[in-house]
Amino acid sequence: MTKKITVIALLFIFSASSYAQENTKKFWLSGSSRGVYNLDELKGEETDTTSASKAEYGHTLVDLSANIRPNANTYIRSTIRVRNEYGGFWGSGTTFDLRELYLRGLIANSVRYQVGDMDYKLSPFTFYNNNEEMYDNTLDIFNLYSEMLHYDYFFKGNNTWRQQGLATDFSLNFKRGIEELKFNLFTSRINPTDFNTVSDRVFFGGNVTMVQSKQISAGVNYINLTDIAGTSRNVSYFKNPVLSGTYSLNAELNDFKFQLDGESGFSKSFTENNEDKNNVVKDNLVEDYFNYAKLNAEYEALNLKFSVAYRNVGQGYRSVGAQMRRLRYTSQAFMFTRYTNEQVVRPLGMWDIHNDPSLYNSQIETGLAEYYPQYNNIDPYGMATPNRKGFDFELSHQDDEDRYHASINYSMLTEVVGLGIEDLKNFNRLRANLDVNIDKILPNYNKQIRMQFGYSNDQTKRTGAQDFVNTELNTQRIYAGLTLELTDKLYYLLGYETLNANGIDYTGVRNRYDEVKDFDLFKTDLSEQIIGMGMRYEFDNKNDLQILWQDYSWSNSVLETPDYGFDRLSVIYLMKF
Amino acid sequence: MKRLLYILALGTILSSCEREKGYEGPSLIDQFGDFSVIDSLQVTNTNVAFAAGETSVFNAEFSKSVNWELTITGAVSGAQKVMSGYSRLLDEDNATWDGSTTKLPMFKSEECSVNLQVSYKEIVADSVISVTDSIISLADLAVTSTKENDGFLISDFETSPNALWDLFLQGGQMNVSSTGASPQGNSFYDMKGTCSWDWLIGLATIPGSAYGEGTNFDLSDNPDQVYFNVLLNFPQEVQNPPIVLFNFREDDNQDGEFTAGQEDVYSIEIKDLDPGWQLISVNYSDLQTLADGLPVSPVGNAVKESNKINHIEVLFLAPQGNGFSQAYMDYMIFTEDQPLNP
Repeated sequence: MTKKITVIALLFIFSASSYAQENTKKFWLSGSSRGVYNLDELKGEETDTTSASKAEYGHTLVDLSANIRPNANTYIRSTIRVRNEYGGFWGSGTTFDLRELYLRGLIANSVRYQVGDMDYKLSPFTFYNNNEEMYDNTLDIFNLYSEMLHYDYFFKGNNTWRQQGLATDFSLNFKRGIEELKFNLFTSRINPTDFNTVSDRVFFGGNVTMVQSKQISAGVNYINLTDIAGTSRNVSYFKNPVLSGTYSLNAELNDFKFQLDGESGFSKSFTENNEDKNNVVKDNLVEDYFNYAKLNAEYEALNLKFSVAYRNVGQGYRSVGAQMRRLRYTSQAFMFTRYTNEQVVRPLGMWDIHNDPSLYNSQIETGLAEYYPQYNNIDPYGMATPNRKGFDFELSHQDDEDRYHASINYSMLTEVVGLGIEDLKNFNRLRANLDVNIDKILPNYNKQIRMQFGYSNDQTKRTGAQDFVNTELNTQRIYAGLTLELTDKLYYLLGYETLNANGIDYTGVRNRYDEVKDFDLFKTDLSEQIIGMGMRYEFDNKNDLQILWQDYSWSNSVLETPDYGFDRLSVIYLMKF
Repeated sequence: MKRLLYILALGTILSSCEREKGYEGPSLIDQFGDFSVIDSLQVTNTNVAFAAGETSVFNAEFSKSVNWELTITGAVSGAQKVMSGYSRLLDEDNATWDGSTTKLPMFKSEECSVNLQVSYKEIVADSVISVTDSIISLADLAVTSTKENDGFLISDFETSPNALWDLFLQGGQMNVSSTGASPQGNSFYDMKGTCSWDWLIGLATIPGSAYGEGTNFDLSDNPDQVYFNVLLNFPQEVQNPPIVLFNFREDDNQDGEFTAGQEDVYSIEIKDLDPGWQLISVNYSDLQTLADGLPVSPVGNAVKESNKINHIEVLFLAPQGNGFSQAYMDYMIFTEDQPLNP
């Protein structure tokens, strides 16, 4: 029945489209489609006769968006996803989903609103979708998989979270004193009630920004995630209000531009009417504050940018909208879940993080989720990672003629309070990236030659009077890539990425109220490498075909599980329309 | 306005400088630190007279908090007192012995051995090692007089019961015995026999008048405060499992007599006990009126009045026709505010 309705809806959309094209764009279609075919081969022990060593799979999908503009101030968008798994015939393995639906408009030429699906963010400490580990500076050849995954989860480049609810914004202009007051408000539902023990949970907030002039602005952010009383039989209600103040100061001095941005705020996280097993009411209140300030300086003559930032985020600072992780913690991967004749669980690696959509969260959840210390032990919850203080430095240079772009970042952080002991962990992070467009350097050469180089080193270290307190965990990531235009629109892609993590660290085991109740001794001696190469043919800037091959290897002597690896051959066709 | 914002920015940085010291979560040293004994086990008052209100305190200090267990064993009685906790220190707050016992029998005046064992985790060569029940200290002490329990003692069966107890026997015996291990003192009450025509083998009716001037037992009028305690042992080798029923007769109208069918009787029926001596403690408020072992409505004023108990009946029962049965009983006592801590 659902399929029939969907087919009828599609026919209606197509016929309406034909009609609409004749009537000044009141209705038009857009969308994207892709076809993906993967052939994976597991490389484990040669004696492994139990595990299936090869898997071929893929899909074809079309996201078809109906765009409706019934009047000048209203816009409606509805996207239907039709997906067919590789090998599905005559409707078998085919799914139809409503991927997106929203309406937005303008009231009285002054108040904008959006109802339905929306992408929203506020600040990195209140509501922000932090990038997953190893996403920044992804090589061209590996970026394709991340882009597909991000597209599917609505992880857009501006760190918004996809929500469903209502948002509005408007501004007031003044003739004197201040220029403008901007208002942004939103509300969304995080999870619905089951009419039993789960209450409706909503997330709402907004900000007010006062623009005094181009030089000065200040604002207030407020968010709150709360259970709605009376929507279930549960009489205890979780709440997490966060309030922060922001400011921004701008100044110019000869060739220098300066900007000071800052934010300070506090949070509470508690459960109202929460009774323990002895019927004692315990709200499990956790509260704390944060302070953040960043000074940006730009020397225009050399296109040189420098920034220094200070942050101090208390160990009890909780902000679900900013501390939610994209990447789920799991000990089991989707592909080749078990290997060897003993059928041991295959440990997760960076290949899975780059490729496996099942590892990602699409919705905000409460609590500080577990993370992967081997990939990011310094700020797994982004800038809002609790119990961190210290400085972040950044220096970058963009060549005027786009020949190269170089950046270097250094972070020097410590814990605010120790984890289980007064001795503090020290965190040091160095990241360096260089992108070189060789074709812009060579005279009279117009085919793209782009090289990417990157290096990062994360160190967590603690020293104490007793030997067992001394811990050190180091993670190094080195990557290099090449994009070479062979002939017109035909590119050769090459990439290599290696990650090594070794050492030990204690990580906190938290209870449901995010309180540290125990410790895990995390140990690793991890080594991972991916090498990839492929060809891409760009039919035009919305339409390309890629054939990619990857070879991945994983080893961790601490886990006492056998080394493994993958080969993957992919054929991917992408089209936007 | 500008000045205000500069002050705000400066305040942001300065306010970050001070924060409460300490650490997050439990102590890492307690979880994984090296374990060592800083002060070995010391016992104060190694010749302790519990009857005089004396106590013994056990002191020890470790390098970190551990799960510890201190066991005191009587050399003659075999009684055991077990104290346990999770701490770095053993001291008067968590390791004081008042002469009570954890595992019956009660202690006698005797020599006792003490052992202290600990369980903990520590890091050895980057691996977490669990150490379980490691004995780290041994000590000795002597009990010169045993603990005296506050309460209304009905009988400790060290001598024959009160002469005013009324015994009714149907093929059975109810005698003080000193031939086996007694949970308290040297003797206990041995109830045994065979009755082919009735469940009742023996009945002891204990009048309140046997213990004072009035007809009632001298107990608190608040049933929530009154606990009835008795030590029982059902020998495992007996084929016909015994049942012991205690009836508490109330003189509701205070005429000095209990009138059956008009005044309340509250009961507790004991059967299917674990092997060995067991402490039975029951709050008077929790008693019910029973008929053939099942709860029924009281026939009197239906108010539990512990100060109006004027008779206690001890019925020794066993399924009729199933042969010989036997049960041991000792140290029958009422306590106030809390169950007996033997």
